[in-house]
Amino acid sequence: MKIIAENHSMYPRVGESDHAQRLRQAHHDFDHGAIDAEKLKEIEDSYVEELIKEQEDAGLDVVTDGMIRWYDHISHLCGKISGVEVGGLVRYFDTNYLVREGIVRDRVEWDGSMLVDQYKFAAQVASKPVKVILTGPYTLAYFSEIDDSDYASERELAEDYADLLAREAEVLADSGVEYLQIEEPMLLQNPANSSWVLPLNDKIVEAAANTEVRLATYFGDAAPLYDELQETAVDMLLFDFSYGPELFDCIADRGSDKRIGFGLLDGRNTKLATADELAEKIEAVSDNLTDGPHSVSFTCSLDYLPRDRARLKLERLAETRDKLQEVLN
Amino acid sequence: MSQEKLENLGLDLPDLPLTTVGSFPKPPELKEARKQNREGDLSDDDLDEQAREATRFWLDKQYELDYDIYVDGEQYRGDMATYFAENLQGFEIGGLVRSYGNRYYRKPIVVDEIVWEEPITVDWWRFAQDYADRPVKGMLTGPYTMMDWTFNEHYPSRAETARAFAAAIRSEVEALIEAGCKIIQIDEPACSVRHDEMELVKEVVGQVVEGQDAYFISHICYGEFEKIYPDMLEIPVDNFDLEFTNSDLYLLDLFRDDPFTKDLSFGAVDVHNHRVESREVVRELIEKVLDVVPREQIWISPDCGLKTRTVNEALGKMEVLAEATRELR
Ligand SMILES: [Zn+2]
Repeated sequence: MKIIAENHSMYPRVGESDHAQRLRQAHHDFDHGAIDAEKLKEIEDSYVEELIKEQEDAGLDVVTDGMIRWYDHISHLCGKISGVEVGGLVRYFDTNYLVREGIVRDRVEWDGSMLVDQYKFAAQVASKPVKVILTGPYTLAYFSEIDDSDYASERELAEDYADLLAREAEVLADSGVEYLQIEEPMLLQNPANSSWVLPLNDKIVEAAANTEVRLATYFGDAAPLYDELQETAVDMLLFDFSYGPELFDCIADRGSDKRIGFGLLDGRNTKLATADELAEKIEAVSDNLTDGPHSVSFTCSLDYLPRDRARLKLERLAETRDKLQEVLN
Repeated sequence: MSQEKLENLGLDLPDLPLTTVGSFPKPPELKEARKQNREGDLSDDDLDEQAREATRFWLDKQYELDYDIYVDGEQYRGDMATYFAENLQGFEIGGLVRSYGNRYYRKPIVVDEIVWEEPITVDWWRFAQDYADRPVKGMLTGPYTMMDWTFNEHYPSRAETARAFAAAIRSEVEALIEAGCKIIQIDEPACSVRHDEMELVKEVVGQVVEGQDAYFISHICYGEFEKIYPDMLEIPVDNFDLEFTNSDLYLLDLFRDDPFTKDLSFGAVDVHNHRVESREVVRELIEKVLDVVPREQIWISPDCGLKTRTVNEALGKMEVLAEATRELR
């Protein structure tokens, strides 16, 4: 069985030194008209390059651009979709972290690629594959306020979001994206909606030909949906294992046809588990898994941590992968 | 019940007692002084003197506007969680963490056993009470919120962390009571976020107040109250301070279905808006709650701490709140 070390999604965009604060400073300067968009982008580019190097130096096999160009998981996409405006701040699940909601004024439509340029830049500076993240249609619809009578329900809006995200996935796949991640944390809050949400996600998977697609769920226990998730079209299920032991029981009892993303290192707490204890958990279910490659990763985005602690987590992730390779082969 | 408790404590309050949530804006000179102190250009003693001056300013204003229960305005505090973390043993003040957009804060990390060594807020409370002619509230951040707003590397679970905070905060409550404080506010803004942890909230707040001879208030804001009401009434305090201007008054509908059994500090001016409301608007809002909750249970206050407003905005909002209340007496 093969296992790789894979970043989850976001990475902290500020640190303690002036150098690590240059992006924060640039946003401040941009907001006050002291620098233009071009200069801001230049600093963003250099920050992406630095974060990718940080992940590669730590030994990761699949990296992200840290999503540092995203204001948050909702408004970055909503701001680029026709028919949606960016609205006020709302709490992102049970975190102490706020996102800007979408305000839907009209039929939502794809208005040109949202992420291809960002991906191309990251891929060009990375030596490892760069994973691209798409917020899933249900989560996006949940965090969108419908201010247009055309949409009678959240579900209708999610269906249109799914169509445009599928279009985006297709363009991303054509641009050479190898790893795509759909994030649907909302699914765990309302698992009863899985019967219509999962087919929407599958639409996106099908549009992303030749791309390995992960479905990431987090901030809840995915065990009650385990069997249904096994029936989807995604290649890998990236789970948040911090909400109870049942997910491991599911894998042990029923095995998995899908690759598993072991979201084990806590993205919301600074505490650092040892590589031994992490590896042990995966090893215990390794007989029930396919040859993979499976991933070891974080429970969620690392944007909830200070950067020095996130860096330690990256290193621990790579150590855990090394440990597993040693015991599994 | 609460009326009797107030009488036993020797507190004789008027009809519709007028108070504020706790924090006031720091005057620009004090902000500058805090910056100089951080950079090592101003001594702690000099900074304290400036904070005392600002505290006297706010006490004078509460006197002039004829408030009934005063607060010290928290001119010497930064963030409401970090302030206590800095003054208890067992913490490391961690690196910067993003709260949204380009906004960051330092989130404390519990790295060792939490130990209360000596009174934290008592000197400031005594300073304010000696200066004031009316009762000054003791202001504490509650154990559940402290737990939720800190990283934990020491305790095995969220519950254990919250219990450790509760023991420390109980010591602070005892010290305040010993100094003569009769009204103590224990803020739990985080408690409406994870409704599945309401039992823990009740337990740890109980751990703080059990058998303590004071009148307890708890301020809770920006949550999904429909998910914790009426269950939250079992949190063992005498008075809940809640926001109403941002809630579209749906809370009152909840109270119609399940009567509000505690005293209620009714938040009647919006702290998130620069504009000062008209007296008529505030009075109409208060009249609405008087239709639903018995008058003898009602106190009047702003929605939340006023610290994010300018000094003049805060004073304007306090004045209109006081005028509207007096019209209804
Ligand atoms: Zn508040």
